[in-house]
Order: sequence, then structure tokens, then C-alpha cells
Amino acid sequence: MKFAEILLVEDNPMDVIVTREALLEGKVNNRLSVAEDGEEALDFLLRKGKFADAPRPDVILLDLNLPKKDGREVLAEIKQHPLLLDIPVVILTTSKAEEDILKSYRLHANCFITKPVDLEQFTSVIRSIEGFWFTIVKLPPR
Amino acid sequence: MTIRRRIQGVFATILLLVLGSGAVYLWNARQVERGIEAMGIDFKILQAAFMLRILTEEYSESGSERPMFQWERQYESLGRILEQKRADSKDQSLVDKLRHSYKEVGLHFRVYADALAAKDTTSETARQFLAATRQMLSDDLEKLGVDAYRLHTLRSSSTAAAQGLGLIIIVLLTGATAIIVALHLFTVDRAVLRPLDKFVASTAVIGERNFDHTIEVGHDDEIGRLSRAFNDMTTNLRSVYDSLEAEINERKRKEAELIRSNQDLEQFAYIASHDLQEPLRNVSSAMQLLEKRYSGRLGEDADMFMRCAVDSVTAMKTLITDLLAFSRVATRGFPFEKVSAEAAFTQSLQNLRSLIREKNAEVTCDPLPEVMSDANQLSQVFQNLISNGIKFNKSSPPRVHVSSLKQDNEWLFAVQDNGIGIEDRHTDRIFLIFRRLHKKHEYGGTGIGLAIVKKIVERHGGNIRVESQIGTGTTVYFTLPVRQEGQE
Repeated sequence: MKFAEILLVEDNPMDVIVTREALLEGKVNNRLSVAEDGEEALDFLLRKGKFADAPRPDVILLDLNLPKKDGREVLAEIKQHPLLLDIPVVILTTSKAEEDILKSYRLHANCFITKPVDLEQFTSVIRSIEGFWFTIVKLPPR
Repeated sequence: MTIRRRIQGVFATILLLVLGSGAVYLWNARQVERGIEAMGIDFKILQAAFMLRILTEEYSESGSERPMFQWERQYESLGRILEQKRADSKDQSLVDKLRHSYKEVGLHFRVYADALAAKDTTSETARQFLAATRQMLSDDLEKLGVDAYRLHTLRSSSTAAAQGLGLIIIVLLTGATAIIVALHLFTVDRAVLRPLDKFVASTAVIGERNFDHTIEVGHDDEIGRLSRAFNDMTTNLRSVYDSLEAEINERKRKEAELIRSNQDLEQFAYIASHDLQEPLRNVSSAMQLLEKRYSGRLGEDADMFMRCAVDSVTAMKTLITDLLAFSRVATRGFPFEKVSAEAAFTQSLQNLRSLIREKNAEVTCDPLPEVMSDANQLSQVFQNLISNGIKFNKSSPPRVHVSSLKQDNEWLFAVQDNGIGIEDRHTDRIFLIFRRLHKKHEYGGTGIGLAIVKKIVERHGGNIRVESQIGTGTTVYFTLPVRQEGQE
């Protein structure tokens, strides 16, 4: 059975663990790949270097505050690259600042979600994301 | 010499001139009067002499007694006048001559009259005698007439001269006065008007903030005093201006410092809130994961520790958010504009919708005025106060009422509730940051609500106080000054 490929771009290890936990409890079979900074994320997506065999993600979960390359830059690059722009990007960040929301949508993010603090709420959000993008939404063919 | 002295001097001079001339003129007038009076007498003398001649003619023609009586009456009258006549140095000799002639005329008339009345009128000797006496009488009368005429003329010319003198005195006096006045006016122009022009010019220069300008005018007079006072004033102005300028610069410096300090505060608050959040979240997540995986498996204590840790992190988050809000009262305050307090009140009710519904609270207000304020902050004030009124409340239903009252040049607002009340000894503490009067689990909240309200009210230039009674309720009073648009 095919499973969903998800790329999580996140530098905070706790958040990675929590996301992973939440996805494990989800309905959809999925495989989670993690990039810890913006450069790594792009290398992964373009299959550069050690990521030559990297799977192409069905959905990207992108944090905005990343070391090296900032999440906003990564978003812009993805959405301008002819091979990557059709991958849905879900911005998953601690910020709730209006300018961040506006900027993300203007850079063609597919949606913007503020991470809840509470663990249960966070888990529920991840499961919603998973449910929405993999059971309700039709994704572009690989 | 001062101008006042000058004026006094001129006044005195003119007065003296007038008095002196007046005296001289009066004396002159008296002389003229006397002259005219004397002229009258002299004229009478002349007339009398003339009449005597005519009467003599008449008598010698008619020889009758009537002309003789008339002649004698006229003669007596002339005699009286001559006696009356008071002679002065000028006409003394003439008057003496007249008096002598008068006597001669009298004598010779007697002789003639006798000759005329004599019986013997036909003889040659008689006729010659008559003719001779007639001639003598005529000569005397002629001399009398001539002297009388001379007397008359003498008096009239001296009187005319005196009159002329009077006129000259008037003309001289008028001329002298005119000259003195003209001189004085000229002096006034020099001493007063030209310096005044300089003063006016100086005020213009000083108006251009050139305070080193001095005026050199007048010396020992009032204008000199004025110019010294003026220069002193300019010096004072300069030092006042300098000190004001220094103060303004100092204030500007302090203002810049304050702005910088505010910016530092904002930056600090932002970093504190932002960068502290992430580690806090991590602790929270880690604890919650532990709870999820190991609750019940590490012992009762462990469960409590983990819960406590999670709660503490939540509390820290709220504290940080509150501190950020508190610091932003200053750093993110908007300039004041005309705001409807009723609109701010309505906004706060919107924000408290769920609390109001949950507690079935009744929140009301009187008509509220328009005030110069920061709309967001005013709404925050109402929100915090109303929220407290609802939360710290055991009544059913909880009621909160907002009212206002105009006092001099400020608005007094009152937020009254039927809540649990506050003890007198606590009423000051409640405005301090994070001071709570109840245990955390009793009524919720971090205790910063009132501190924020106080800070906002004070930012607007008002003040705040509390009146309360345990078990009855609490009223929070705060004032907002009335401002004009554009004022700060």
C-alpha cells in the first residue's frame, strides 16, 4: 500500500518528536522525513548530495524560523521552482503575527497554522492536517 | 538737565515774561490813561482860550454887559481848570507860562473893560488908549491860545508814543513766547522724539533675538534713565532666553533618551517574550509527552511533579504575555484622539462575550462622553475592570455598571460591581503588578489586570482609586483629563 510522504522542516527537536508522535497516531500510513534547516530542506527536495534517493514529499510541513536559510526564503524558493511548486506547503509555526501570515500567503503557502502550546491540541492539529490533506484533498499525481 | 526741569524752566520763564510784561504794560496803560485825561484838560484849556477870544470880539463889538458877564464866567472857568491842572516835568514851564498869561489877560481885560465903559469915547486919546488896550489884550489872548495849543500838542504826542510803546510790548511778549515755545518744541524733538525712534528700531532688532544690542541715548534726563532700564531689560531677556533655551535643549536630550529607553524596553520585551517562549514550549511539550507515556507508571509523586511542571510552564507563558502587555502600554501607545467611551465600552463587552455568557452577568452603562484617549487602551481599561467585577463576584447575577461625571476639566468614570469587595487595608496593593489577594485557584488571573489599567490611566494623565465594602461590592474610580485636539 502506498503511504503518504511527509517532509517536516523543523529545527526544534521537541517539536519533531511531538509531530512524529502525533502522526503515528493518525489514520493514514505515512512516512515522515525531517530536515533541520532550510538548506537541508532544499537539498532534500532537489535530491542533492546525500539526498539523491530522497522521496518526493506529498506535503511539506514548514516552520518559518529556521537557522541558515529562513523558512520564508525556503517557501519562496519552493514556490518558484518549476519542479517543486506544485507540492502543498503547510506553514506550521509558533508565530501568529499578521505580517507573517500575510507574507506566507503572498509567497503562495497553501495554508498557515499556528502551533498550539498544549500537547493534546497540537496532536489534534497534526491529525487534522493529516486527515485533510490525505483523505479529503486530492493531491497532484506523483 | 532732565526734561521735567526743562519744562518747568520754560514754564517759569514764560510766566515771568508774562508777569513782567504785564506789569510794564499796566504801568504803560496808566501812563496812557493819565495822558488822555490830561489831554482832556488841555483841550478844555484850549477851548476856553478860544472862547475868550470870541467873547472878547463880541464884547468889543457890542460893549454890552451880557458878553462881559459871559467873558468873566469863562475866565473864571479857565481859572478853575488851570488850578486843577497838575503839571509834570514835561509841561511845567508851559503851564507856568499859561498861568502867567492868564493873569495878564485878566488884568488887561479889566483895563480894557474900564476903557470901554468910560464916558469919554470920542477924543483921540481915548480912542488910542482903547485901541492900545485892545491890542494888548489881543496879544495876551494870542499868547494864551498859542501856549494852550502847544500844551495840547505836547501831551498828545507823548501819549501817542506811550500807546505805541504798549503795542510794542505786546508784540515783543508774543514774539518772545513764540520763540521760547518753538525752541522748546525743537528741544523736545531732539530730546524725546528722536530717541523714541531709536527705541522703536531697537525693539525690532531685539525682536530678531539679537540680545547684545544696546541703546545709547539721552544722558542725565528721563530718556537716559529709560535707555538704561531698557538695556537692563534686554540683558535680562537674554539671560532668560538663554536659560530657557538651555532648558529646552535639556528636555530634548531627555526626551531623546526616553525614546531610546522606550525602544530598548520594547526590544527587551519582545525578545523576552519571543525567545523565552520556545524553551518554555519545549519544557511543556516534554512534560506532556512524559505524562502521556508514563503517567501512572512512575509513581504518584511523579505524576504530580509532571503536572506541576506543565502548569508552571503555562503560568510562565501567561506571565510573560502579561509583562509584554504591561510594557506595551507605553511603547505601543497610540497618540490620543477623540474617542467615544461608549464605543470603547461596547468593544470591551465584545471581548468579554464568553465570560459574560458563562457567568450570566449583567453589564450596563450610563451615557458616556467623548474623551481624548487611545481607543484600544481605553477599551482595555473597561475590559479589565469589568472582567474583575464579574470574576470576583458571588452574587447572582453578577452586575457591573459604568457611569461618568464631569468635574472641572476632567471626566470621572466609575465601574461599580456587586462583588465580594476588598478590605480597606488592601486597596493600595491591588494596583501593584502581580499582587493577588486570593489563592490562584480561587479566582484565576495573574493579577496584572489592574496594574495595566493603572498604567494606562496614568499615561493619559489621570488617576485611579478604589472604594469597596466587603460583601457589598467595589467601585473603581478613574479620571481622564479633558484635552483639546492637538494638545499632548
